Amino acid sequence: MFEIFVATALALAAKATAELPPVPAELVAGAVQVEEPGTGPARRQLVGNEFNPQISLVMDTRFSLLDRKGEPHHDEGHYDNQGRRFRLKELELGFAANVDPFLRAEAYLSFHDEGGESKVEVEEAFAQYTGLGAGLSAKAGILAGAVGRVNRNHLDQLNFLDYPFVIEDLFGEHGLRAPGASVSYLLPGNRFNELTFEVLDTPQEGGFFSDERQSFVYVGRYRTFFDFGGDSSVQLGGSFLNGSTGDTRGNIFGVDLTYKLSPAAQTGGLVFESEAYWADSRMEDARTSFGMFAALNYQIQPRVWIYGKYDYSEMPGTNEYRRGWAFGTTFRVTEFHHWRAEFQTIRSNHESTQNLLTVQFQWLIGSHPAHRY
Amino acid sequence: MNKPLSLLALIAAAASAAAQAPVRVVTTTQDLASLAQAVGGRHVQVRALVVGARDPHRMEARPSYMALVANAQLFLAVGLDLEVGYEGPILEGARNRRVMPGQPGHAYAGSWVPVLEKPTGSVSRADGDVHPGGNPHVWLDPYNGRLIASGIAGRLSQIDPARAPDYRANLAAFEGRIDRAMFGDALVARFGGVRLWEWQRSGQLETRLREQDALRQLGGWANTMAPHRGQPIITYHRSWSYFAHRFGLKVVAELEPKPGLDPTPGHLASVVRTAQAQSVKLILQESYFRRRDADFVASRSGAQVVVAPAGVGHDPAAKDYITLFDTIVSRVGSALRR
Repeated sequence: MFEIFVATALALAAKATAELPPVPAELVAGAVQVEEPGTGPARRQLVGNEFNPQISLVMDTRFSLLDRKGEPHHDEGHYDNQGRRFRLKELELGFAANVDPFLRAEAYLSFHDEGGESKVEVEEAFAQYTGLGAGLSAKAGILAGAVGRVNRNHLDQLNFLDYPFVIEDLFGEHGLRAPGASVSYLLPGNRFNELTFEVLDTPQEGGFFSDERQSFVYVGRYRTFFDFGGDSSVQLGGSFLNGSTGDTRGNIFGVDLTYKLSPAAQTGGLVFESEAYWADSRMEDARTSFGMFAALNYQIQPRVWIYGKYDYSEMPGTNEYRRGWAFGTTFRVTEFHHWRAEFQTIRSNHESTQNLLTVQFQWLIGSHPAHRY
Repeated sequence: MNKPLSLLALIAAAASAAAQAPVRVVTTTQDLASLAQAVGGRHVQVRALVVGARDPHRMEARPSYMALVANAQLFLAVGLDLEVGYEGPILEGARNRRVMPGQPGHAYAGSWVPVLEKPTGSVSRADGDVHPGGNPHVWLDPYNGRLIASGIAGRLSQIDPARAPDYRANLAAFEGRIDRAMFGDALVARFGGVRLWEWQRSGQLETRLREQDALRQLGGWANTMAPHRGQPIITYHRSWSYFAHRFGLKVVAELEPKPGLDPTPGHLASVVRTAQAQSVKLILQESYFRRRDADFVASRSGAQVVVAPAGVGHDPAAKDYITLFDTIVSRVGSALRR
């Protein structure tokens, strides 16, 4: 009996949704009044490129000056350029469009210089269902893993030059990027609380996880958000990863905090972001490695930001560590191009101190999807 | 009571509660929120994302917005790419099918009004922060507010048909308020708001009123602004085009050399020359832009800088859509009367 009632109720609900009554004529008549026929968006005519995807191109060129010669710290590292150099850090080509009423797709190709060779990598390429209902969304493809906040942002979206040491050491120079699938759930309620679960192929770029056993990396993440009115907000997150580290499976646990002050005026904006990670390979004689970064950006003029960043990272599976202090300024000429200068000093227990001065020139053309928070 | 009857009673009670619950409306700006509240009355629960005197171009897709939109039955945005930087991620993060584009629960106010300054020919970012669909500051024309309110009433009636008569009644009441605020009580009582708007929109208001020997009855915003028709003004951003269009003001320059770009010394020098040549009395700008550029031009041209609310909530006096125009018209009128 109960099933009959439920089925009837569902059928009635479906019918009600499918057969919405027509809008009262007098309201429609009022709604579509136009003074200048043909100028309203409702009367937009279809043009040839209507169904083309949004295309964007982001160019990141840099001039670097390093104060010493010698072997780079590691081949993939962001300060592997020795001496003075102009270089193409990255050219990112992005595409985004709705596949159909149910699915949205995005793809980002990264062209970059690696040891003097031009390389192309798929930075992200996925299709996402956002209308599943019940607070769920799902995507599959090549994903930026839901680890912390910085890892999910592309290089051009960072508030400083490069990914923090800890991200590079755990996941590779470009962060955790791997094929896989992701499901996230927005918990009911007025506060933003989100749970994400992902299954990814083990990244082949090196880092903490090993792809020798061809097993998956499992990622879990929770984040919450506190909005303190118009000006300030805090985002807190926790991430957990489990994957093969060779003969066994290791874990990474991370926490992240982002505080933003966004006054209505054009100056005085502030962003503090920090993430910390503990990586336990679960292998005999291997200790848990720790890494973290903290960065503070402050808007001193409508278009000028200054920042400082501290990095510390223990290389997993070794006794090596490095720490860095960076200071920089960003001049955002418009929202589509900026100049940035950063001085960074790096100290470690296995190399002499390095001082690096970098000037970045970055621009964007086309229609780039909005940045993730 | 047997089990089937209990279940029936439960379903009936749940349906009744759902019917009584207010429609949850989320808008991007407080202007749309004010209009939705006026039309929805006690049947809606309205929240705006952009609160206070903030530039609606430059907001971020805060996760808290996603949580709000996740529970919405109607999502109202201005459109015309005003919210292009954050609408997509908010809707994506909200995961709410009801308010996805194309659904009855998603609407752009910009699609209900005549749009000004729609670029013709190719559009390039060399022109600054241009909007290919036209100028998005549509709410700064009270006639557009009337149209948007009508559009909102249509959507609410579609989502919540049982209360459609109430929405129609609220819409009529709101239209009456805005008509009386625009033309004054006496003229609205004599000719009706629709006819007055028709005359105003065709530029024949004063002629027709004179023919009817009713010009002296003109009141409201139209009366305050009538002496200033054709007056040249300067604005900071291209956000006052709709207001100027409605009240016959002529925007002769903007402090921004191109939309979205900060004023440069060379451009300000040319604006000073324009202000001097055209005897500009008023430089109009929003509170979230710095004043020093407007003050610079004013000091060399004799114009007066007026900081006016460009939206509901941008100023304590602009509490709702009607008082927004009360405040703007009062400040602009005072400056132009000098």
